[in-house]
Amino acid sequence: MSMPVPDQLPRASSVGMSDVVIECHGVTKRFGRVDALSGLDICVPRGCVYALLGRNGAGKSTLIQLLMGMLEPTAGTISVLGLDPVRNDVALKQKLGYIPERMPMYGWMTVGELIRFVAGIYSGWSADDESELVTKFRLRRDQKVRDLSRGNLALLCLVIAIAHRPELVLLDECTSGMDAITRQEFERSVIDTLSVSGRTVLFAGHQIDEMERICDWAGIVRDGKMLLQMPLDELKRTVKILRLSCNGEGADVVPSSSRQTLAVPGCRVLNTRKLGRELLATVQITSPEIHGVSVPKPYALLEEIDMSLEEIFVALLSTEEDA
Amino acid sequence: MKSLFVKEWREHWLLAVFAAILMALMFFGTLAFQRASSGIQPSSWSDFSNTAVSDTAVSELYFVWLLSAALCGSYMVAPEVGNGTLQFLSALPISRKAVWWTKLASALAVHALSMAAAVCAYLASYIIAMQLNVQSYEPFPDKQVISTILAITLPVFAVATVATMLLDRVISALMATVCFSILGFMGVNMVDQLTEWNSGTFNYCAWTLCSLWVLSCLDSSCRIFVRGETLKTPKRYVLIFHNCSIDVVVILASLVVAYYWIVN
Repeated sequence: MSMPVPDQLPRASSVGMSDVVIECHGVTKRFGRVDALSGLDICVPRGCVYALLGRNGAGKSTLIQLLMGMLEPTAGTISVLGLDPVRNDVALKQKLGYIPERMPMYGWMTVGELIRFVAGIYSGWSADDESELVTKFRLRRDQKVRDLSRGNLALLCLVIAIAHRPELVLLDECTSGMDAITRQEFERSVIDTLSVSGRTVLFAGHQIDEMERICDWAGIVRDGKMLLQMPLDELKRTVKILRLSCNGEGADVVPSSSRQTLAVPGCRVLNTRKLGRELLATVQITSPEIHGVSVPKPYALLEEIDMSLEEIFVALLSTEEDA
Repeated sequence: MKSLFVKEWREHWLLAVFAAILMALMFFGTLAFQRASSGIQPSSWSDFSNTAVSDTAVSELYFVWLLSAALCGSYMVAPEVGNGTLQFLSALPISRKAVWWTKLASALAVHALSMAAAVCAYLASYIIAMQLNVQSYEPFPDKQVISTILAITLPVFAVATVATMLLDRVISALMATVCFSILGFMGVNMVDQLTEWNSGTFNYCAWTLCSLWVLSCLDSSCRIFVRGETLKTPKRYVLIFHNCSIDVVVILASLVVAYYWIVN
């Protein structure tokens, strides 16, 4: 069972071409016999911080490399800032910032040399932004890149990714492998630097708790397809846990875990869990016109519980995998 | 482009030093070996007296030139694919073609410097040997041999520029280049012995093949780099297969034309 993805995608025609930064339709990427992406659609509005979520191997990094023009799509169309990433890769990269999970850099260079090397390549490099960021992140220009800690290396990547004032920044699981303190420091730097500036940011990763604080849009990728994407507020409004009590006739047959036995009008039941005489049902509201959830007898709605992004992610993906 | 060229140069200029040191070591190693093979173990510089600087030392210079060609070609891309820095380079706003040309120019420059450094090391070693009263032959053979050897370094370099795209480690690319080049020279020699062509026809065909081979390899290398994505996907093998099939047809057709043009 899959969700009605196309209806949930904001189209360029509906939001205005200039308001869309990334637009992909039917993107497929095949490596030999393996489909890393199969018909993926994504639409990222300008100015948002977009969380791209998915399990390992779902196709997040492949998508980001396609957006960067590092890979060519096997099928489908990709438009980033109105440009084709393969044909206009140089012009596009002038407007992009990119931080991958692991960014091996020239370890024999010093921080200053590496920044000078990169600065010579970007036409819009801002020396003021560069020195401000280097000072703010307390990076030593005379230190060899190979001697930098994981956290400082990520901060150097951040300097390189944003000192040319890009319109779009792509972060690909860049906090993986960092310890908790380094991760928090890095994320604070990202939030300070990017959120305030009003840039569009596409953030792929597994630290969903942290991403929830930063992001205002979310897209969930599964097996190379976009399972769902919408504004984070809307996502949290449509996916909820219903706490139900079961009284009266049929009270003895409260289902333990089978979602097929519970049908809620206008909702898709993702999973259910029995707690004594109560039932916790995770539902996704599929009909936008429904404003209040009405549950069938013998159930009575006690409470609607909001879910965190991580809980929503787990509920949606585990339901899809069960199906 | 300038910053990229400087970066490439800084990464690879040590190859020239390596070529010079290798040349000097091989030169004196040969002297020591020749001395030892005459029954006396050299224990000091003066023990080299009465040992001849034979053609072996000159051959070693050619060997260093060929090794330098293979190394400079192999170092063009393979290290960056192996350690992942190609991903960093690919994320920067430079066209892949410009990166390839810069890397090629830098590799050729380092190769030229390596050859010059090897010659300097050879001559320096030769002069030192003279000071030690070592018997000498002419330091270099005739110009035709030198120009032939110089010309042979180009096809070896060209093969290495393809190997460096297909293999992620320098040593693998180097070994592949050496094996492929040896097979190539053996093939050319075999054709020379089996056919009854006169030397003029053979030379003409050999030089045509050599030039086309260099162009074909450089073209393949450029195509793989530009369209081979991260150079870690199977696409690079598809590209080399496609390019090779076209190149083989073009080279064979050119050889047939060259042969009939000479014969008639």
